[in-house]
Amino acid sequence: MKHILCKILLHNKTHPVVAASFMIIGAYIGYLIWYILDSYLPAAAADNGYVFVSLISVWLCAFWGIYQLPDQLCMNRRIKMILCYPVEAQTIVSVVAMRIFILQSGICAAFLYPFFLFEAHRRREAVLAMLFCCILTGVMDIGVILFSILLSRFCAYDIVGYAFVVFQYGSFLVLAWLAGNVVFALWGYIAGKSQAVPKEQELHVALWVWAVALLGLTVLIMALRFAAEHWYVRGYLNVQDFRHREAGKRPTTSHITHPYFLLEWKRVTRNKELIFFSNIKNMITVMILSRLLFYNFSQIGLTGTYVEELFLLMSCCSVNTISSTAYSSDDNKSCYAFLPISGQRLFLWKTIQGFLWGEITVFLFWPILICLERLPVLSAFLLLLYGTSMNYVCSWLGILIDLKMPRTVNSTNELLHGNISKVLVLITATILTVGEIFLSSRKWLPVPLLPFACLAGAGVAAGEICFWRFCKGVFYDTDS
Amino acid sequence: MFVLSGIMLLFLPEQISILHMGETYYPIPSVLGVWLFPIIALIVNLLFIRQNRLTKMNSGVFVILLAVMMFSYVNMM
Repeated sequence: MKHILCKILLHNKTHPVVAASFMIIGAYIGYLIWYILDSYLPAAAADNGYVFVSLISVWLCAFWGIYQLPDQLCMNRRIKMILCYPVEAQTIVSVVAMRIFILQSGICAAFLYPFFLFEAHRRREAVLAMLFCCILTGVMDIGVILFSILLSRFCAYDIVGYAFVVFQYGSFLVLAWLAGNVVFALWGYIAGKSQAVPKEQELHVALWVWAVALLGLTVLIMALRFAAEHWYVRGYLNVQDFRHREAGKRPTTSHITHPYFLLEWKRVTRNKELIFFSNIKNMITVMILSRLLFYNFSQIGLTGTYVEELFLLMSCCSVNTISSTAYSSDDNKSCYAFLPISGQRLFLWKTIQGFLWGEITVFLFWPILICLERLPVLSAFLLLLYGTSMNYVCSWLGILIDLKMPRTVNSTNELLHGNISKVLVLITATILTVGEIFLSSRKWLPVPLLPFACLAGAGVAAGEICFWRFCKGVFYDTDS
Repeated sequence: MFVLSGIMLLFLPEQISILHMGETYYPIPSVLGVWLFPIIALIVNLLFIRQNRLTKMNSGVFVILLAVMMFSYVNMM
């Protein structure tokens, strides 16, 4: 029964080719990391390289758990279908958690199997490290499930969706911070370590760590059994109410003058997580992303006046969740094929809405830039023009990618994290901006960087408008 | 990409500088490093499959990846 339940809930069957591909990727990445550690780690610290690898594997498992567990357990619309059958809540939780845990164990195995190849004489430590990573991952998974159940059960139905977005995104940030500080600090400690720890002390610490991990796992499993039995189903229904609480409300009679605008407005305002995510979360993303891009590209010599500002505004425009989920998050998508709706006009209104929502982020960062950098008036207006034109370019591109490569999801939350169309928009916008900076920094153009960037952005936007105007057939979704 | 990388292996030097952190390069044997680009492409492809996004557009993405890969290999020769 668990096998059927797994198929219904997760709605994807891993093909043997996909499973084999994952194994090849894991085997390659694991071996590559161990090769680099073996070749470039100082000889004194080489014995402790496996600690670093274990930390990376646990970090990845934690990331995957936080991304998948709340979505699959509390947001998954398919669970509602099976609640009317005699299936225990504990079975649902265990099926989903086991499926995710198996993948995480695969990650741990992929990262630690080269331990047997590179340090053939330390097989016992390799097995213990693998086992410890799996136990730690299990503890974290149960912690995430428990916290998700508590959030879903004890948060009011009108804020529970936001609470989940904050929990998931906050956890991603904490993990990123841990990767940047704790993991690399520990790496520095390991690399600089010259004296081996005394054998007795090592054994003492190891025993304590194992005892704490096993005790923690036992206590958490008991707590999870209790929470799943008493709180899970009511919590799940509470989360479902977040989106559909107004289902019984009778709509008032009104005359619709702009049907395309209304369709798109309803699509955005109905998905409350999207609005919340697009504005609150994007602030942090934009700041991290622009710093990252500026730091990396300045290292290869792409520097100059207004480069940092351009990267900041470009980041604002390219992380537009409203546009990159324009079709995937639209519940009415299946009806468009047989209704007298122009795909071209719908695309235009989706672009306008995405553009307007994205412009909020641009308008939030633009005054901050002016205040902090004390820019001249002309530069300030050129930056606004650049932000606006790039916003249109990114909005249009995000919607086109989502139209051509729509995504089928179990919950809206799945669209918020790891959305590949957003990544493609970001890559395209980065290539465009880097190209502009490169051409300007090499003095191949008679125009300074800022006016050139504005012209290029406006030119691409004009090209997109022409494409929309003359290539009608592209904007019809033939798959729906 | 895997086939082309295998062919390029015959022409590449013994070690290639495919990984770096800032200006510090970590040369690795070609036999190991040459598969990095195809593996990245495979990850991208699996992401597309998992998100049910196998359309004409991702063929374009792979053509771009292939061009980047060949450009970097020619630079290393």
